[in-house]
Amino acid sequence: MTIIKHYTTIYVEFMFLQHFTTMSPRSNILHERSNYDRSLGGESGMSIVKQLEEWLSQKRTIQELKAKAKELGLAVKKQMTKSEVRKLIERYIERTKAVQPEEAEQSRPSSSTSSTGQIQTTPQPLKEDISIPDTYNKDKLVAMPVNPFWIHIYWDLSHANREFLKSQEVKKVVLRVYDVTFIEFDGTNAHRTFEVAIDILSTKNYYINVPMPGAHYLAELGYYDSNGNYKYLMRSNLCRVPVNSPSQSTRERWLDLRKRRRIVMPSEGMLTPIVERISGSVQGLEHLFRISSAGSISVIRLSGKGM
Amino acid sequence: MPRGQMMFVLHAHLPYVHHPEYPFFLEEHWLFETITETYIPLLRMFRNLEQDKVPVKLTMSITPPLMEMLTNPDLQNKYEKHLEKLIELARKEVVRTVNEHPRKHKMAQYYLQNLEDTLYIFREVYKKNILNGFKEYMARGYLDIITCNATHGYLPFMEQYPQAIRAQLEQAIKTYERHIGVKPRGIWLAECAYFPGLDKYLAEYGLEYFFVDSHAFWYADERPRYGVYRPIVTPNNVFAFARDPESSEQVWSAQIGYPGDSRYREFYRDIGFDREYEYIRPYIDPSGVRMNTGIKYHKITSKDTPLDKKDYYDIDEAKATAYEHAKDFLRKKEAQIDYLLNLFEGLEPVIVAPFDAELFGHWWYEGPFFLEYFMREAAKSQKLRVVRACDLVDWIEKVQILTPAASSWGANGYNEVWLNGTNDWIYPHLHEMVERMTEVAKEHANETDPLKIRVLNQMVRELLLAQSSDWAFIMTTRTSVEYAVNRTKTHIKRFLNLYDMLKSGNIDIGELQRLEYVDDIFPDADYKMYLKI
Repeated sequence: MTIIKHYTTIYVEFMFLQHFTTMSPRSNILHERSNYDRSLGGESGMSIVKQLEEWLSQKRTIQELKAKAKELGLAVKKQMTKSEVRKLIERYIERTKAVQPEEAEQSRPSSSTSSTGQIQTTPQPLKEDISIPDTYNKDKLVAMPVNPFWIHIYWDLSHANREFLKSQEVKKVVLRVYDVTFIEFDGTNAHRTFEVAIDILSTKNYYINVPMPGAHYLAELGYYDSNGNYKYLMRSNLCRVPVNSPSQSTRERWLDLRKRRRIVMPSEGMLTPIVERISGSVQGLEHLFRISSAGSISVIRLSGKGM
Repeated sequence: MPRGQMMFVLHAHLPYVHHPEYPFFLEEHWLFETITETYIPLLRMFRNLEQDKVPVKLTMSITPPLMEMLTNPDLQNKYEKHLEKLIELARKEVVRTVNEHPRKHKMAQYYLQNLEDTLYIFREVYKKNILNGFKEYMARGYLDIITCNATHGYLPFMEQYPQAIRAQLEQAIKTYERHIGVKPRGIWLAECAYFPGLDKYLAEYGLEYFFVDSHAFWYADERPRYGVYRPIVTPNNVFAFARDPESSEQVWSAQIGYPGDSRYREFYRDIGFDREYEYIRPYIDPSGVRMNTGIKYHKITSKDTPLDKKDYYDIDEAKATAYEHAKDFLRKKEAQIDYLLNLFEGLEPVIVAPFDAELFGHWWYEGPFFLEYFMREAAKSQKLRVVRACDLVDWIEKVQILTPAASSWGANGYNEVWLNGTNDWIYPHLHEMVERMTEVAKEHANETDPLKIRVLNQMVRELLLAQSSDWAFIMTTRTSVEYAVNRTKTHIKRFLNLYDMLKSGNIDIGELQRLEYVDDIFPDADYKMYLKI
């Protein structure tokens, strides 16, 4: 079982491999301005160009170049060579320079609820405090399905338990995940039990790689005491991960709406052949696990245009 | 003769963005741009087709936040002002382009004419409420308007809180009824996000049908005999339609998709960025930051042409292209229908082609022309019939019973777009808010103090607004993040403040009034929805 810390960006990488067809274009309305800013230099265009040129003048690995190109929203292809990616970025710089508005210095847009949102002619609305709590001081463990192979678990603790977990009595804090598919779980009868040690002081959540699509998982936060015995502190909700393959069922049920009758018959399977999507690449698997610091999601934008 | 049934579904949605305390707010332009480029062009399409007696049939979800925005007087007035400004700019452009490239001048004249028509339609025809336009076409049988989760909340992440799911559905239905006058029959589930068991809630609220992505059928609990090409019914007697992957691919795909054609309009060249600063200054963000105006003179030219080398756009050439593409799409649909009819031994296949409405017009400028031309050509087809979702639900005689698989139409087909390292921090808060909302709803189940009721109902608004899936989505895409993060935190904070007021009994009426003013969605919000556990 692979555990990835809460700030993982693995999902970001997964998304590159996915099909583009279903991403919703509406989203593009929501961030078109930023894309525009990116493509034309926008808010602080010239300085970005300068930074970029400087960045490019140094020795860069292909991974760095690709990450940068993705960040800029350029169409990077997996099979591109280093010099091709470099050229792509150089072209971008040229283009940005060429279309750059004359004025490099501009103030911030009236976007967002932050203090920059007003125009000069009206009295400024109150700046609101939007700080939100780090904890609600409640014991809580919640498991959420991410996809057929990943679940997300977050927790919160009461003051008493937070202190207790720091005490001498607690040797090791662990997160357990039980596969309890179709059983009444009594604490001992799980199909499989997984465990991972967690640093309760620095983390509030984890992503956990689970082996069985369609399974029902239950998470547990517990600890080992000084005698080496495991004790549990709290349990999560039941988390059903999605399935990712056709049903093995051999029956079909039908409803005849005219006769108001239900019919059950053996299934002959689906008549329409389908081509399911899979992930894959020519580069092995390492790119899946590379942490991308770039805002690389922008490449999945589906603006339709120029893709 | 059996035919194929073709169903276009347009999902029209924008998150609720209204800042009455600001005379100008950049994110309100999401709405303004889509009114000009998508919603009014769609109304024009209906008008043109109706005039020519073409039997158009379309299914559209208009989400509750969008209905609330389209009918909000302040936003209507802001839009009108915005449009008047734009017309002023378009006039200047007509004069200015006399000495520029003739195609620029031609387009300048086109934009001026087009924007003046738009203002006429907005102000004179629909008296600033274009939702009435859609209602009219619904009444005349061209359009099936369905609803959507109250604030586009992502229901799979509310599975452990039935009351939160019910509130998203109940508020959606109330809002639809308030604006449309009848109850909705169908629902577009936000992001097509479905999990087994959700159908029970849909049935509770009398919703007859919903939409899912293809793999929801492919991986259903039993094999769908006709794949995604026939609706199914769930064990709770709700119909479901699944997306046809081929239709999406044909419109969308990077290689063969229509919107990338070289003759179509280039989105990323706009005079808001191209004209000199002093000239464009009055028509951009008052803070002085350049922004899109919608006046664009360039075509895509080719994918590899740098932005500054793009050639000039010609509306007639682009319309001819859209016509060509509409005919091509129809041919492809007919071929697909031939194949499916043969496979199904004469049983009529149903092809469901759902898109975000904003693709048509806003991103793909020529999209509304494409749709209009498709409807015109389809009317002559011997093989294909355009239908609405409600038609099929009324006609269908025999239907397979299935439980669709948990799925969404987001990247990779599951939940990761709305749950990953960029946005997971919001869920502990959203869940806590549901728990507190439920707690105070119970405590005040028989509340009679009108002030406390106002606090409780404002808490509902803050909670629902915080639940909009748009914020998590924007965080994933990592653009305009600041706005999404601030909106999320703002609603969480306001909710918690209201909760504290209620608990302490120290109700700050001024603050309550302010929140009712700045978060003015859903006047009929009712905290008792959270009693339905």
